[in-house]
Amino acid sequence: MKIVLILLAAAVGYAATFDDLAQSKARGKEIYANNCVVCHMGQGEGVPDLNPPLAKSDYLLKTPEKALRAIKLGLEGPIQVNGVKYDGMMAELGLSNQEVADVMNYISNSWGNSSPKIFTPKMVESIK
Amino acid sequence: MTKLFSVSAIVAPLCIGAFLMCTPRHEPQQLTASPADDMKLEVAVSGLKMPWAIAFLPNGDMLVTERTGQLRLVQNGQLHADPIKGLPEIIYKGQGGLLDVVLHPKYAQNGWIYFSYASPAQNGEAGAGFTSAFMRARLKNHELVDKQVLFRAKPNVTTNHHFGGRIVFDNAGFVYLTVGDRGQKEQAQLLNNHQGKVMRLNDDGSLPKDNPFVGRANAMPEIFSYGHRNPQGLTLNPETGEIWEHEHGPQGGDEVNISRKGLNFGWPAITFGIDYDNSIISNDTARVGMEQPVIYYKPSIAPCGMTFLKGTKFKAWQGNLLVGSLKFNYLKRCTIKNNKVVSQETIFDKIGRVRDIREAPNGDIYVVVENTGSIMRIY
Repeated sequence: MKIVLILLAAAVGYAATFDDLAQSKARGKEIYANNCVVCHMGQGEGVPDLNPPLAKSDYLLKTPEKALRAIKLGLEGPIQVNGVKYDGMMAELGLSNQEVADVMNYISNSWGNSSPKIFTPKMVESIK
Repeated sequence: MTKLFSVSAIVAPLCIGAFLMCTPRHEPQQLTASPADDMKLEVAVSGLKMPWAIAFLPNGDMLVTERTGQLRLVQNGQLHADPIKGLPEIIYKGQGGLLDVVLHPKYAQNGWIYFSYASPAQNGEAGAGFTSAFMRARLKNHELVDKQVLFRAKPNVTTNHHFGGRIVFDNAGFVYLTVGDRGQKEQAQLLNNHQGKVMRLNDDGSLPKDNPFVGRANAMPEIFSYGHRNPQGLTLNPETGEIWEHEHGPQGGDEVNISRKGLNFGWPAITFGIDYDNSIISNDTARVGMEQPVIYYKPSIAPCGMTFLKGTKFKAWQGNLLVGSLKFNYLKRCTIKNNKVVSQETIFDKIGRVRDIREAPNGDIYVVVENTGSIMRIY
């Protein structure tokens, strides 16, 4: 009986998490359209030599904490994405911690990207 | 600090990291050799955060807006450490913040400073979120006084982009304001809102009796022209007295337009661009009843900042139109004849993300560069 209850709880918990992620990604899609698409473009492809891609980006997928920081605080100075150097400026967007998490969930799971991590406002909060 | 450049050369002014962007050059029209004298380039002001616009005070001092919400004073060439006090609440989010700053043509007599900003929705207003707001005030003891809200675009919208925000005076006592479509493109074609419009007001914010849509049912009477996307360039053609604007297109399709009374500039019904996800916004680039641009840019250059040159110092460039590029970090110098662009030249390539271009009273050209937080002087 206990095992059934535990499994049931886990199933409910999983479903809830899955639903949260779906909603976060949906909000993230809207945030992306309003704040990010002008530079990173509709398929996350970026602009050659100017704005790095997000689709299949090693910077995003292998160092998500750096990407999260950039979304929260902006980014300046040289970085390398998929072997290509970029040295531009990403303005700080003024997004809330929730918005940062949402758009991160969206981009990390779009255009061929997939992330094992679910990003939360709490994770964003601790970034300085 | 200073270097001599021949104008036809491509300039790489400073070896600061932010300038090291490799930018492909996109030339829709042929380069022409410029007959101007050698020009020098230097950093006039540095240490700014997200500078957006400048205005020259009669004594040679400069007002500078930082999109973060600060109005700064440059006194005797030095950036005053403290921001000017007394600004209204400003939303620094997305593309919003403190934007343009422009002096009344008779500033020396009346002291009026005009500025634009993204402002949170107020009680009783239509819509939610933020809007483009325009205020005038006087400067006294490093503080804004006599503040008057001239105009708040209706309705408020929850998006953080396409605020427009440019201000310019003509020679007839009118002031023009731009508001972008706020990300709701269909609104730009409708007259019942201020999104995607150029507005015309009297200098005290009151309504000109002969505005084109005064008395029209369901039309906002402040509207001067409509069908714009996000105009971040607005300037007076000193020769013709007309208002020229430029605006960001979507993916491709930035435009330079002459804003005239009551005209429809077509966004989004006609456009030279496509959407960021490569979908079609319109199959039409022209329609009867809608105005064509003077020029358009494809690919987009992300134009911001615009001025006609009086040529006080650089006589060979008198009457030219300068357009700044955020995306490609350069300026375009356009030779204008009969309201047409007959040639264009890329100048000051790699200067950085250009937000504003102004000709100082003595003829020096100032360029506000966003990513380096500096104001460059061409002299």
